[in-house]
Amino acid sequence: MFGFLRSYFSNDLAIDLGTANTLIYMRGKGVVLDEPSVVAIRIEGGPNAKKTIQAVGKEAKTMIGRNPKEISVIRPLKDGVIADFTVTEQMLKQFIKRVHESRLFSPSPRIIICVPSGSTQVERRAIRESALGAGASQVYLIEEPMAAAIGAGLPVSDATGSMVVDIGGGTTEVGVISLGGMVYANSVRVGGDKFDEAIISYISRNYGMQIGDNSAENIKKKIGSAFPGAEVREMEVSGINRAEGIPRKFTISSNEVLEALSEPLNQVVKAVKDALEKTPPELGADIAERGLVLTGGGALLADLDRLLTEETGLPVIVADDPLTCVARGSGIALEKMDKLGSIFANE
Amino acid sequence: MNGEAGNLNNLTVEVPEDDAAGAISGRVAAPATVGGILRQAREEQGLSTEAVAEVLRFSVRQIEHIENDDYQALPGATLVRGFIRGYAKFLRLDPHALIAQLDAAVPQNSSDVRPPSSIAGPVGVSGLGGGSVRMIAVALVVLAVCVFGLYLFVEADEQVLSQAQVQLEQVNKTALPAGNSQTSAESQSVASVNAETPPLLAPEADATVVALSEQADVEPVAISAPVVGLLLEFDDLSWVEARDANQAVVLVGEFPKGTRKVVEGKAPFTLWIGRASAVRVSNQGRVIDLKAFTREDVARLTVD
Repeated sequence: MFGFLRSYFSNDLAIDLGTANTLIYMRGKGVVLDEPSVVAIRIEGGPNAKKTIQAVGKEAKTMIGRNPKEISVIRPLKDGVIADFTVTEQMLKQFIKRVHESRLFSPSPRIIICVPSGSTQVERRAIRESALGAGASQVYLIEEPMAAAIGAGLPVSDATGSMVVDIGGGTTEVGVISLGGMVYANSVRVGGDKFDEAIISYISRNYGMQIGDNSAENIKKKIGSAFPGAEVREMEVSGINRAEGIPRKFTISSNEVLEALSEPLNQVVKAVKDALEKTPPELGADIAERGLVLTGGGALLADLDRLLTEETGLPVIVADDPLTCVARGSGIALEKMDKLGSIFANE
Repeated sequence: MNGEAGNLNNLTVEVPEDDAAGAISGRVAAPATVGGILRQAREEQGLSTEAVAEVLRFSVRQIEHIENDDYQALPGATLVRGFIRGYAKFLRLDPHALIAQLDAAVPQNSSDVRPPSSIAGPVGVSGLGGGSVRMIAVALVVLAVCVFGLYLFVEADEQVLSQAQVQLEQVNKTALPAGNSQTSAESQSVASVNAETPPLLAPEADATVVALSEQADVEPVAISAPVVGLLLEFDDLSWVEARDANQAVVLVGEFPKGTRKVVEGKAPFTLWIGRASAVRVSNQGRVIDLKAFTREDVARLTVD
């Protein structure tokens, strides 16, 4: 009954609920939370086994691969959509509580939340319901390419074509935007996670070594690249030798990582080429002039812009602060949400 | 522009500034602008703008705009920043330093998100948006005003009622000796008081009427003879319309000061007085206080 009163005392939020990271933008304050989308749950023993949340976010991420059997560390999102509904809801609730200072009212904000452009109705409904369950008074959905384009500062409202490629943890979103709407949108389920998996399987295949998710991510961040560079960098990695069953150290070079990443990268390139093929010629001309814009954590992979330039023959630019583009874009949409209708997605 | 590359190979020699940017004046003085730094780095590596364009896939024209710091000619800040970042990376310069320098020189614009101008008005948000909060606030204010108005109205009514009761008491005093107790003290309005009292008053003296009119805070009117029907007396110019029971207009028009008009016809009469403060109304010799029926000096009332 007093939901509207509580929402009056709560700050509106924009949430980039990503596979890898969740970012929260608060109206008037900017990005206030950036945490990995990881939850650690302790399962108590006994007849009425109770589940309690042990940790959320950064703290929980350090527990990945290091947990005893009473604690399960869960990444509740997979491929950009919710894989575990209850845990997602709990995680969102924790995050929302964390960014709200007011203790007098339990937070009940209006929330803008991002959904992958290729997500199904069921997946969108799940995201909406989990936000409502986490205490939102109202939920608006915005498609990720639109949010990314706004966050990157592209002229989305103008009658010019802008192309944005948002490479997140679980999905790669390609969108062509003009006049405040999406002319073309596609999402492929390739992202940072697939890059990590590719590195793990490459090392397993070629070195007979087993490494963890966090190690793979470190390799990708330090020496990963998408295009052969002039200098070859190396990195020492430790893992378990599968033949001997003993932890060992070995060295891997950037060229090997490049080889490992070539398969998922080809899928990204294919998605971009598909989008260009389906773009109307007028907008295609704009994109050729202005280039396509890379956002998302994947844009930080070294020389990815170079790879896309070579493959498409178009200028490619990396947005400012690509990791927070989607959250900032949703935030800008949030600031003006009362005036904008067309940019929000339907279920 | 490409021609000067030859001169600059020998950088110890002072090169006269010959282009629009005028950024390069020699090796010792570092170029001041972002475009100048990029141009110098490119020329030091012996690259032409065409070679850069070949790799970055930007047009030669766009590269020249960047090197001349002519950002207005390029479409948007996002492109300028992304382009400079890519160009710097290609030339193996530190992109962060250049972007920081660019920030100081050119303010960063945020994405201009607005509803399409062809669509009139904002798009309504279903449920309780910010707009509806405003609506609720307005509704509350209107409600408060209404309640206050009602309170004033009721209070005014009560004054009339108490006046009517005073009158009734007096009437009773005079009427009781006649053994008539018809006047119930619970009369609701002046109009009904007027309706009930005349039969009582009729056999009595005029004095009661005079006393009553004094009670009603109106100048005492000397009534020489019993007045039958509805009497309007004008203290100043006023407009009046009166209709009888059949809604037929029996009296209409503007009447000057001093006019006395008797409305004849079948009761009840509907009266509409344009300047209530200037008109005194009495029915069957009983003065009617117009204040209770007056809004903004216009009185609307029905007289039985």
